[in-house]
Amino acid sequence: MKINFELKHNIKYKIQGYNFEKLLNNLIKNKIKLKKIKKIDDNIVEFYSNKKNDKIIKNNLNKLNIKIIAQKDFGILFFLRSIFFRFGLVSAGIISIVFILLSQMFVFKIEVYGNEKITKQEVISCLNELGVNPFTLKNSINTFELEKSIIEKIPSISLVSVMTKGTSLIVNLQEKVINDEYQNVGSFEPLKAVSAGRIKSVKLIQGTLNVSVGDLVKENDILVYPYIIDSSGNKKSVKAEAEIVAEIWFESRVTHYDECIKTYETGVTVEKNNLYFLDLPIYIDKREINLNQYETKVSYSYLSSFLIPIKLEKVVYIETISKKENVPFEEVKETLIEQARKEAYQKSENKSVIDEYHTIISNVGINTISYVVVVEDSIINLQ
Amino acid sequence: MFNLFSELKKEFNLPYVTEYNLVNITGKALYVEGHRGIMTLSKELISFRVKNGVVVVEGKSLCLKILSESTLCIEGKIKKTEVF
Repeated sequence: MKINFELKHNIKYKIQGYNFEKLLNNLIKNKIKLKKIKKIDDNIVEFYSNKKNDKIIKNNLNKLNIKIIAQKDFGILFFLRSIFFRFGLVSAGIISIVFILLSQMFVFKIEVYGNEKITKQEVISCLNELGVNPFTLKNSINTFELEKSIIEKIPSISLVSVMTKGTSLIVNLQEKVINDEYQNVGSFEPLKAVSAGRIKSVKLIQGTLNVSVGDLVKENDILVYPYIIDSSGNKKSVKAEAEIVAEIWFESRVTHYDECIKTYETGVTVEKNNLYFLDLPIYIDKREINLNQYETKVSYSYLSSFLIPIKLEKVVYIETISKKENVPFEEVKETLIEQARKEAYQKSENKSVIDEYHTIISNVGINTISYVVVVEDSIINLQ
Repeated sequence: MFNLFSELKKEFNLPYVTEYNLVNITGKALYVEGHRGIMTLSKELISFRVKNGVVVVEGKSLCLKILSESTLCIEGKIKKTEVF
């Protein structure tokens, strides 16, 4: 009996209040067995009961406004349970430490720094080829050998340092810097003229000149070759660079005919509507057009959504008439010169104009005005 | 809990009674069967209802060793037990 009692999880309650007799009677009416009921003081009583009765006891205490001033758990089951929880915590702690220690032995992450042209994936795949990947034992990594191997495998790396920190393998690298002059050795392009003109000044930076001041050049003529000849007479490939300024001509032509036929709209229009489904005609307006001379304007619009594409084609026939006109060149000469001038200026893109002139060529009623604007600008496409 | 009186009744074929039974064991413990609730609880006096009366136990350092729906056991130095 005693052993059974001690085995169970019991709670010792120390309560404070009044009317304990009523409390005890209420509890035993609820079939609760109480043990070691002792009155400590006038208003303090202590007793033991099984853990399973805890809720009912507390409810009754609340009803009678009796406070619990102390509560303590007893019994072998309680002891075992507390030990189990404590053991669980301790074992969880031990397992965590073991896990952390084990995880510290491996590389989980590869970090690459200092790469610009070389991709991180390139470095990681190189490391993989060298037998280093996530879950590799840290002890098996020889960083010195790894550095040497990386430089051998990736020639564009000039300097590399490999170190392990925590569970990461950190690769710090420096890429080789190649000068522009040596980047495309043998594949340099010559400098060419972007437009026709006369060379005004030449300032060679690098390469071999093909033109001199006063030369007339056409568009795409070679100005500077991409090589130099050294003191021993050998050709050496270099990037052609120069500042070449030239007089550039921008020309605009306007042609006038003394006699010409002009077409005018009379204002009479006929409209036809055709319907298409998926570009297949479903309705065609077959009315005849009774106009002697006309121009057409066609427009399309969709009548429904794109799911059922019904297309409406609207054709407008505009009646026209042609008239023969005779306009003497002298009457419109100034207007045409001005028109040619404007066009030439537009072509010169408002660069600094140093000269401008025009010539008129007349031939059997056909007059051509050629307006030239001269500007001074770089003849090389600097892009 | 071991029920002394039930065991005795079984052993000696005694008739079943609905009243209370109590036994004083050398003045150190009082075992009661058939109580109807505690009336007073203190170190010197414990009283409880029984059928048709009240039992008053006086003594020193009294405590209720066991209290259940029908039985109780008082422990301590029991001086006097009176039934009213």
